Amino acid sequence: MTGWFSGHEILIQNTMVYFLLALSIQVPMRMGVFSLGGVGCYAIGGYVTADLLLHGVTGGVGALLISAVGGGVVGCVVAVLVRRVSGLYLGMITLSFVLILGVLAGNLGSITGGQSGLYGVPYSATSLSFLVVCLIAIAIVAASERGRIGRTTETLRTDHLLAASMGIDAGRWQLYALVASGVIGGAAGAMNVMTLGFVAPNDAGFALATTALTMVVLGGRRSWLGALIGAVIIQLLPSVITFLSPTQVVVISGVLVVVVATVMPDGLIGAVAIVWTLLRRAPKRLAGKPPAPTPVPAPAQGAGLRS
Amino acid sequence: MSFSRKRTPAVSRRWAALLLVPALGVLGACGSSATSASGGGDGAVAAATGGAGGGSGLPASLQLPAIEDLTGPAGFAGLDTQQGQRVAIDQINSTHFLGNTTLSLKYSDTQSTPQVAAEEASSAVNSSAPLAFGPVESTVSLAVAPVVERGKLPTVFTQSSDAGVTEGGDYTYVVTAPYQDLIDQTLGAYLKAKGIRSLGIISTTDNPGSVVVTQALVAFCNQNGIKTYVAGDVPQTTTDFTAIASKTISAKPAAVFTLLYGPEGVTLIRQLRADGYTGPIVGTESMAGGVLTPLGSAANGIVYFTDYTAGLPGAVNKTFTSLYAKMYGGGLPSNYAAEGYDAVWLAARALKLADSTDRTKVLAALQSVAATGFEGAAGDITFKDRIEQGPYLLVKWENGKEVLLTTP
Amino acid sequence: MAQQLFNTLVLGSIYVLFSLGMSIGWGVLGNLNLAQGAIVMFSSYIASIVGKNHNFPFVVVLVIGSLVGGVVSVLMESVVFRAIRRSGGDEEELELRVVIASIAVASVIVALVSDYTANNTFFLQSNYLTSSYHVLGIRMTTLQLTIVGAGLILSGALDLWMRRSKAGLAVRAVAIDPETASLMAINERRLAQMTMFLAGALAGVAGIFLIAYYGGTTAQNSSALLVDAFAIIIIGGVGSIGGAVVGAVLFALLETLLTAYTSGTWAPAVSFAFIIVVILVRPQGLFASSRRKVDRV
Repeated sequence: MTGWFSGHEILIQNTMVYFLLALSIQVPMRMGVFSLGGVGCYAIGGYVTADLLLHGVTGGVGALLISAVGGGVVGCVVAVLVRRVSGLYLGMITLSFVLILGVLAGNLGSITGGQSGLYGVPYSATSLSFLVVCLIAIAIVAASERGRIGRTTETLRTDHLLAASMGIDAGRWQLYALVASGVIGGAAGAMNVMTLGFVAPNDAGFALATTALTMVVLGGRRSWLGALIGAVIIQLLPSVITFLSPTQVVVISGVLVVVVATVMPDGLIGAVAIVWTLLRRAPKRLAGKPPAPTPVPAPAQGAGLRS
Repeated sequence: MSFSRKRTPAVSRRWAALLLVPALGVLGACGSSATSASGGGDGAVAAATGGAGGGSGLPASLQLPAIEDLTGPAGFAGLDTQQGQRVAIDQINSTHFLGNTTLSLKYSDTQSTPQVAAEEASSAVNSSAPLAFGPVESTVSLAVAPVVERGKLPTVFTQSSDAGVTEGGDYTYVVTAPYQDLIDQTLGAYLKAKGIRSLGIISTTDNPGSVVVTQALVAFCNQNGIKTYVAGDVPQTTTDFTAIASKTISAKPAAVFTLLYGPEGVTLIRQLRADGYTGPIVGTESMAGGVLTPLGSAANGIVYFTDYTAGLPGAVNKTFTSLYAKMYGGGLPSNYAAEGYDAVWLAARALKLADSTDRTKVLAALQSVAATGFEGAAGDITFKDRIEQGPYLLVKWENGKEVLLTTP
Repeated sequence: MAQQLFNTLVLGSIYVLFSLGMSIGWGVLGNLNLAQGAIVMFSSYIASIVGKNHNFPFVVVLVIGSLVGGVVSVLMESVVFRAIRRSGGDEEELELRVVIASIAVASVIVALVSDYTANNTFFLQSNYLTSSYHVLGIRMTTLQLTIVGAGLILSGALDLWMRRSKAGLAVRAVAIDPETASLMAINERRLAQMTMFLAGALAGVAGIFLIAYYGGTTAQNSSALLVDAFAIIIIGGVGSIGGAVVGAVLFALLETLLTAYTSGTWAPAVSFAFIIVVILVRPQGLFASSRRKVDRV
């Protein structure tokens, strides 16, 4: 087993990068904000890191921090611009933002290396440091899935009329979501460059954006676990399932995504959870007792939601 | 209208999902070790089963990793390269070039994606293979180069024109002639001979290779007093040719150079002619391989540079083309196939010289073979800074066939 | 200059045919079908292999293309989109799931065709409608005239149908208020299928024109026009046919002018910037119509 890990170190690092990329999309989606801004910040983080490392301005950690913070700033700016937009339109605006970045990257030769991108970045990734970053991200995001914040975001996603009537300022939460998305995206972009050693305009493209989206929908957008599962399935599994041809892998994952999008709106973790609950309740059913009504966790009343 | 659905309690959801992740991880790890244990997964197993290859330092069966762009946008070139490689492997084994050792290639598809390529390169480094083959697409090769450099695995690439591929160190070799020299010695010479004093350039923005070519061409023209007019960069997938064509023609160049390949290139040429341009049209080797066929006789006289054409004289090429025709049921090899063929022969010669699977010895042997040079399908192959030098050919398209204009 | 304008018209007509399908699917049913590009490519691929050793007249090829496009589109509607729409939930969430599902279907189609063609270019059997004329100093080929004609006729016919025919009226009713429409004994399922069939057929026609105009295409060429189509729909207003026509022509004009007067590399950025500006300033587009509510927080 350990042999497998050391032989596939880059694979694991890439999976962690993709996990963070998916997380940058999942966090806003959790509260119903469809934004691809995280992918844009991924590209920005990548180019910033490449420039910093190539010119020896900072080390890996410094570049990572700067990229994350920079991503957050960009996320903030974007949030202010799109304050009044939501739904699919928000998704499309942020997609356009990502694509514009791609064009800029291809044209600003002096900063971005133009179409060739920037290469030769010294390899500064260690699996341990990546793991630490991922764990920090998970800790923060998981904490935000509980308690007051968790309930607020649940409400925002499922019923914004109710949220509005309870005084939740959706615009402000959208801002928080986009900033978080930017920070995570920026970090992911930095890590990507530290592993591969180069960045190119492709890192801000339609294909990457759809991959990020697919990971989140597949895994489930309610929780960071969904992002992780999506990343593992999309990035990790194809490399290890060597008995299928790449075309077969694409077809199978495409069909999988269609099935998940159609019948499992909460993604795979949602489906697994439903199965789990059914299994737990099965013994009671078999014994003839009517199953106890599942408590529907309604948004908490009273104090706590006003924010 | 939205009704909140009955939700499963958060706790059970989390537990259920937490089971999923390690399950997938274990599945992945077991799946992979299963496939590698079942033989032929890494060079490790293959080399280990070696032992006496008839007294030579090479095992009885030697498998080399071939990281190739077999699908995705660069797939058409990668597949061609693979064809050439297969011809070489077959020939090496049937002529017992490596004694009793049977050579084989294990292909992994990069899907024209840098991330996957880097992962495959990492696997190759961790195997015990003495040498590997790299992809064709520059951006993908750029991901492979640092990995094999760090891992000290000699790797032979084809195409991959970006300088970054070989800049990193000693372990990377490219079996394709560099664009600057190609342009200076073929296209440049042609333009000068024809007395062309102004050149319209239509370049594409999509990939680093195009940028290199455009820069090389502009540099040549500047040095030789040829006025250039770059009508603009277009993406390869452009849908608007009329503006570009008109813009180019309006500058009244004496010749037009285009980087667009495939169907877009064909449409552009049609548009240029339709707009009344009658002068020479020149291009790069991406016009090879029958791309110009749909134009019919309108394509006659189009000239492009390349580092291989099936009509090259030379004993090795004759053997190559006939073996290729036999393996693939007629048909002529493209320059990608020839490069693949020559890349494998370079590796085989190095392996024979080193007579060992130790990577340091193989690298030294590679350097030695490169320094001496050898005859390949593309003619006499020599290297400078680990990049193939030549041949530098100019071909003309005439009645559905490539005709050689200059001799190497 | 006049030649440039004519060429813009041709380009714009191709854009119209491509975008119209997406626009009505989205406007009427809420299906933003991002597989439209893949359907366009697939229709031309099937037409190329069906016509391989025959020499069909161009009309036949067009019919084949439109049928293939229509069928694929209806299949997607019946199997995937309808199930999603009926599974309940927030309207925005449903739209998002439809988008994701359509992206996945597109990737499957592209992967399959990519595999079968080994990513090589495929062509139609012969060069169609290549005779050219010179009118008022403008050079036109029959193909170009056909494209412009098809663009005008099809969009005009679609508009007329939507406004005058009973079925068209029913479609618009469904678009505005599906629940009330169902009370009026309108068979929503049939209508949805019919709408998506039309959307797909238009895509098929666009596909045939594209492959004929460019002489060939590859499996990878499916997503290039998607974002352009999106920009056009946003500019013109979702669900509005007239809007799509105007949007397409404007867009083609913008692209042509940009390429003519600046370096072509900046051209895509402008279309993306356009999307951003329009969504921020006038999200309902130039010709607002149908039920697309502008989402305001």
